[in-house]
Amino acid sequence: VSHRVLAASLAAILLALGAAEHTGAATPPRASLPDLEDEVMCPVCGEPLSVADSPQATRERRFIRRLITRGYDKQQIKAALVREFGPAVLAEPEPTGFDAAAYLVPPAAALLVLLPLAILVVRRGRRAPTHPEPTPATPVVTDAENRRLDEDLRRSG
Amino acid sequence: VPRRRSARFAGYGTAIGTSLLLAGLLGYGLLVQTPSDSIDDSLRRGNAVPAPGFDVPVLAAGRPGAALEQKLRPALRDGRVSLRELAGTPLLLNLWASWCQPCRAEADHLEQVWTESARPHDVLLIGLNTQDLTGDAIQFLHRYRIDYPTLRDKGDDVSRHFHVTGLPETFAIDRHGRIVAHIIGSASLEQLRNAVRAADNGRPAAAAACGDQGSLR
Repeated sequence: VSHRVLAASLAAILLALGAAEHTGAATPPRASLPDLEDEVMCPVCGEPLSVADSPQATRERRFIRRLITRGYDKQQIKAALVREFGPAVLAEPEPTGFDAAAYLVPPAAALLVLLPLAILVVRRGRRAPTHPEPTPATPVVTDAENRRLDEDLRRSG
Repeated sequence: VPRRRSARFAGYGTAIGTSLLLAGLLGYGLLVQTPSDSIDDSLRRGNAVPAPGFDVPVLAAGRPGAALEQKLRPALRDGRVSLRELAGTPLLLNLWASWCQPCRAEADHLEQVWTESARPHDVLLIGLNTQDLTGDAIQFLHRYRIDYPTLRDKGDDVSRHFHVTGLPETFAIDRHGRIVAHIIGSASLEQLRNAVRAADNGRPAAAAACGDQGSLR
């Protein structure tokens, strides 16, 4: 009986954990102004909202606070901002037009630096002299030693 | 040896190609980001400039009057208006935002010129709200009792295409879709009246800044 109770309790705990996880996934964390401020722009000032200090930035913050009060999550607030100001309101540059440079330049610059380095390393590797096995200047076993060895073998044999 | 040579050429080629790409991007960026005054330069020389096209949603239809309403109705039907749809109608395009102090200062002038000079001569006045919150823009329209049609550019595409450097700015566009006058900053009554005349007769007038309270030459 105790095994059955234990198994049932374990199953109940697992089910409860599963349900809690499911509930957690369904409701995203509540949005906050400080969290959003560095991810969106003040379109008029052309700088992130976190550092913008203009009347329009104040209005944008008020708009975000209003949406937070209404229970909007972060993604919904971002979507609402895009509806109001267009995609330029998002701090991440768009992957089109000149803004695409933000995504293209870093790999291009890395390529510019790494490729010559790689070529240099490969070339150095090829040029490095291969060390031949050292040939002893004198024979390893001298004639006298050979003779002594033959004598020893004969005596023992 | 040939393999080593081809590897070297590939390395140099990639380095040169990447450098050219970076230099090209820099050049393109400078070209795109640099404010252009080609519209004002052309107007100064007495030449009209084809207005950049736009296609934006309507924020408020306003009360354009019987004659203009008839012309506007097809354009307004889908809730969007493009410059192409307005071909044949001279117009003043005023770019504004509710947060902009000089826009508040010129709001009464615009409404006065609309009711006294523009609408009676079938010259359309169109407000283009930009970089603004919809709710704030609608409040602005109510507060200043603006009853000319207002469009909304939620980003700043139209502003960029018109090379707008600040708000407000007003462009007079003749019936052929050419910019014939440009007012930078808060417009005076006289400037607006002259802009209406320029749009109507299609004769280019020089650009005027807000400091110039005189007529558009």
